[in-house]
Amino acid sequence: MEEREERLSQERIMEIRYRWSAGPYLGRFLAELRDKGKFYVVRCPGCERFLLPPRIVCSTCYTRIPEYPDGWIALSGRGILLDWQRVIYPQMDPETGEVRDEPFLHGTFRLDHDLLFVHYLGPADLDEGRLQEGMKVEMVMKPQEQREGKVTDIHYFRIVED
Amino acid sequence: MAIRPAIVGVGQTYHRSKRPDVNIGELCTEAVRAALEDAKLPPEKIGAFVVGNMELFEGRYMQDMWQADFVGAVGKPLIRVTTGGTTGGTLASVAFEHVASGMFDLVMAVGFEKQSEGDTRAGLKTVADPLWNRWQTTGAIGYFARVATFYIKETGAPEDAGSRVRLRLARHAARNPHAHLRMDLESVDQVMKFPYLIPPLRQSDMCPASEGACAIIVASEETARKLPRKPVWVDDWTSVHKEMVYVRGGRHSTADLEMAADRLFRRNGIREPMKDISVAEIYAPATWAELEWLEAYGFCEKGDAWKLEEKGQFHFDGPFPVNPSGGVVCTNPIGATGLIRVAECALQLRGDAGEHQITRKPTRGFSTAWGGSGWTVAHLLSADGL
Repeated sequence: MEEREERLSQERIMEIRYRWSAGPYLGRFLAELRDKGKFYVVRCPGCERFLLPPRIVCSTCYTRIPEYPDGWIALSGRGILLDWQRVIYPQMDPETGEVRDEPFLHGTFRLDHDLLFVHYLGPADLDEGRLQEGMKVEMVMKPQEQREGKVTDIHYFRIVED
Repeated sequence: MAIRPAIVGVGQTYHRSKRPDVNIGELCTEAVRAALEDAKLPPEKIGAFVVGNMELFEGRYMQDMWQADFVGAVGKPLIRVTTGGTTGGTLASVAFEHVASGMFDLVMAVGFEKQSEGDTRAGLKTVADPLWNRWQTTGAIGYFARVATFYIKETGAPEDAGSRVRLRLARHAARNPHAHLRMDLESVDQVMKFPYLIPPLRQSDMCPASEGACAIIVASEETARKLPRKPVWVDDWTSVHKEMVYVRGGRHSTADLEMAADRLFRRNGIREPMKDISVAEIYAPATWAELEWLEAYGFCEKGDAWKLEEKGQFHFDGPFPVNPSGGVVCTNPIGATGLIRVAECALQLRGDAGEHQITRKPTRGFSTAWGGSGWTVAHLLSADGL
């Protein structure tokens, strides 16, 4: 038998711990979401557009944005469904590195002030045949004890009847 | 611009999903040697180096330090450029700027990727803010499924439009010995049998994960005229960043592509891009993006690219050849991909592209790189004697 040349390679798995600061803007947004279920945006005093999430400067006019609560506005948590994506290929969960095999739906929602936001559609709305652009949606929070100060403290958005 | 740069040599490796036969340094030497041979230059003539690859992918800190030994840069100026998907395009831009500044006469740019050594999907997911929207990233596939959805919705393109792009690019790649995916495809129906990833995006609509490297040598006008290869002139280049950090998944926009092309075309008196430019090597990681972006660059009206595709407008032997190399959906060693666009454009403008040489007279070339869902780098090149 012909001898095959060995192509040596070696494998390591590296676990690296990160801890990211949220800062006073995104931090306050997440804390309000966690503690009161409130979803805040802030209006840029320079160009008057709404910023989601609140941040220290407007990235287009570079105006300094005031800290909470000056100019901060809580949204209603209601909006309309613009489009959705059925994710059917095995997808790595970026939070854990685990692969999630089951399909899920991401929706793009138009919230108050024309702001767009992407989140999950809820378990009752996974039947794509029923979904239509323009359907009304509302934000569903996780129970208080499960909230962690993350955007996923919002459990999902669900379709609501008119 | 102070000094006019020219491309005087290009080299690339062949591309596969894995190159277990070589390590990163060895892979780079293949492209470097090919570029030096093409330019007919000894390594000691190169005055400075620009090297790059994707952050995080191969998991090495100071990749530039590692690379210096293998590209011939010990004792010479070298900087690393790592701008995500645009890395290869930025490598070219920075090499052009080195020469344009007047500080260097001969500069080499080297880009590579060896994706099997790390985890590309994990690396790409770190693009999003970990405290805002990283949890919802679905990587390149999620992004391009949205591109496909919007393109169909806004232009009325049929669901097989992406498959027609794949068919053209497969035919191009079959003629290019450096291409990675050289699929034997004969009909749109055959392409339409590939499974969905996220409807309407199919597996056949996406780029592969490739391993390979590319190098180009850039010279000042004075030096370029003394070298044996026909110089390819670098007329202009730019880059555009769109507001991205907190708007991922928001309103779909091609503003970065539009601004980059518009700026280059205006500055260079290009009024009818499809007429004034003879070849485009554009960085489109998915078939649908190629259609949408040809419109965004202003080569045709919104909603017309899929119709022109059906007419064969973009074939290498057609009136406006797009990605005669087979493009990014056939070959994508990310850190080298943008540089391959420049190198392939240069080969076309020299008339040295071999089997995939365009039949149209090569005059001006347009190459781009794209990444991060909102950055575009674009270059405008021209043939000698134009």
